[in-house]
Amino acid sequence: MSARGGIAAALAALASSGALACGVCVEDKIAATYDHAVVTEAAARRHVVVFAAVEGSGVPAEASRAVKEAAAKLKGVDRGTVRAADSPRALSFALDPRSATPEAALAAIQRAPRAAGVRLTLIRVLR
Amino acid sequence: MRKTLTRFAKVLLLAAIAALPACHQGGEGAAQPKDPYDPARMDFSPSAAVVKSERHSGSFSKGDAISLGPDVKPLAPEAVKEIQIDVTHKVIDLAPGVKFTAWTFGDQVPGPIVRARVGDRIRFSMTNRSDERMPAASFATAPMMHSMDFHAAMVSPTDKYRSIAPGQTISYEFTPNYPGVFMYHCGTPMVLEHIASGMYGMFIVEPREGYPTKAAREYAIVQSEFYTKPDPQGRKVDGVPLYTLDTERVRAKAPTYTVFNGQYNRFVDKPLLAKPGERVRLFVINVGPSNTSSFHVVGTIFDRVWMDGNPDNQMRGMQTVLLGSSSAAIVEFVVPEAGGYVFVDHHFANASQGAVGIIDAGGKGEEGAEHHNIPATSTPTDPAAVQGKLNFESKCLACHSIGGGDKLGPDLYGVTKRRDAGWIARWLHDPEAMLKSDADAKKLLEKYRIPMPNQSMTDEGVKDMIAYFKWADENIHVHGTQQPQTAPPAVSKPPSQTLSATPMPGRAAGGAK
Repeated sequence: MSARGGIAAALAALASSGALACGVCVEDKIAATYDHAVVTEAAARRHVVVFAAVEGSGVPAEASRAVKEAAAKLKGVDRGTVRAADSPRALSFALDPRSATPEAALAAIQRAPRAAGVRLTLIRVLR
Repeated sequence: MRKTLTRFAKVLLLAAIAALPACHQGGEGAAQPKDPYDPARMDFSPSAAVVKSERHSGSFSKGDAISLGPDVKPLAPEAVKEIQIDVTHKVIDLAPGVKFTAWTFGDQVPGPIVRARVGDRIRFSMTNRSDERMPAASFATAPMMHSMDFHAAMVSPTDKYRSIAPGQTISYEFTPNYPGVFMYHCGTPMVLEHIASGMYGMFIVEPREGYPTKAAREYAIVQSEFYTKPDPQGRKVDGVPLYTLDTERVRAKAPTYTVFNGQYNRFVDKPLLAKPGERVRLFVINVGPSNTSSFHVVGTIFDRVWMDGNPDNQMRGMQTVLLGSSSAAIVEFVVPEAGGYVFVDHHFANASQGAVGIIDAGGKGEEGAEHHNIPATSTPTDPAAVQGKLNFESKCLACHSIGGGDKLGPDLYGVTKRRDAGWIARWLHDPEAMLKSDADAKKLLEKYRIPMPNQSMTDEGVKDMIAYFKWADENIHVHGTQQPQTAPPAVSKPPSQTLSATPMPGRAAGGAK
């Protein structure tokens, strides 16, 4: 598949109506961390872009920092692609699907010591 | 007699009781006007939003119901109105010498004006074209997700107002149920930044039966704030400095520009036209994102104000209309005679940031904004002279002019050529002592009869004032008696860089000391 075709496929995934989370403001959470360059480059490499909602009772900024750091260290996450937002609370990153599934990647991030108490919910995967 | 009266009273009472149900029935049965806001008559059947990975090409906005400028086209007769408004990122001309990285609807700020009628079907589509290369837009921000929130619609926001990615197109249909002048804007987080970057527009919905008055002219006025800072990389577009969004200022509600229709003093440079005796209808909206407008037209009184643009919300004889963020009104007035009718946000700090315009009704309207004593924004670039100008305007302008002729005291235009700096400094520092010892000071008192008051100026303040006088003598070209006098644009700073700009809390603007 060409890079252009990859982007089109990724956008098609974004256009799908089925949301993996509650459905309220899913696109807003995606928009909060959406980086067109990350999406474009991931599509060209046939990697996926994982979007997650961040929840938990801690200080949002600290939670964002913690999950961002944990994601950046995770095997399979493309360097420089981790994005986090405090409002709405969201996380995204490009991932090599041969290294981990999106669900497994999020579970690993949640297990990081500094991310204790943070819950990550998968809301969309751009393939 | 008493018995007769009692019987009569009983008859009356019985008649009254018998009449009660009839009255009640009569009240309902009488031809009462139908409630135009009866939900039963409204259309709550919008279509589901459809998002596709297909994009529009060519023009960035289309549709007979769309107007691009302040001249609002008459209502298109079709009951179904197809409108296309695409998203772009582009560099706009915000003020003389100021290019700004904007995000737009329809490739313009504000976005196109939409005009429809209650009951019309709106068939809307929008492509996020923020990833398209525009001329000079390589400086603009990266492509990102955007959305469209129509305040004129009654729809599920989670469906219709969802954010779409660059390259995607969203489309949906809805029916406006209420007449009004409504805002539309991007609702993607951070909404504040999207609106502050230019993503807004006006949606006019006429009553089913049209407006109750007939206007000779119709114009759309969109007030908004801009929060700018010089591009951190110091880039220029076409030789003009580039400015970007100052997110700190946005959050502090400290704009650098407050403007009508996306441009500093836009309607001073290109006035709206009218003729004496005409009824002018202005569709006015304040899209904010954060401040309030007190809209006023100098020289006339609003015959009718329809709050939020709905004739059912009518007020008469208003001098201003107060508009919070995302509030609108239709104001109508009669142009009483030939002249230049200045319109402003009567929060004059906002007017001084560019929220000024003129309705040119012929005759002696040439003096424009200055006619109404709106402070000139041409300002020296040297910080000392800038401070001196501010001090002059706050302490001296009541008695002195610069090139406007003598007032209570002498016209100070050319003072640095008439007197040396040492004399001026001594005079500003201690006028009482000068009046006792200096021959020239005594002559001034003899001529003007009012002693120069001691303003308790510091050494720094005196230096600033002299710096301003020198700047004025070198740069101002006196014309007429307008006050304050303006300088050529080449030697002036945009208001965002002057001390008159709203300072950030804890941070002085424009290099203030």
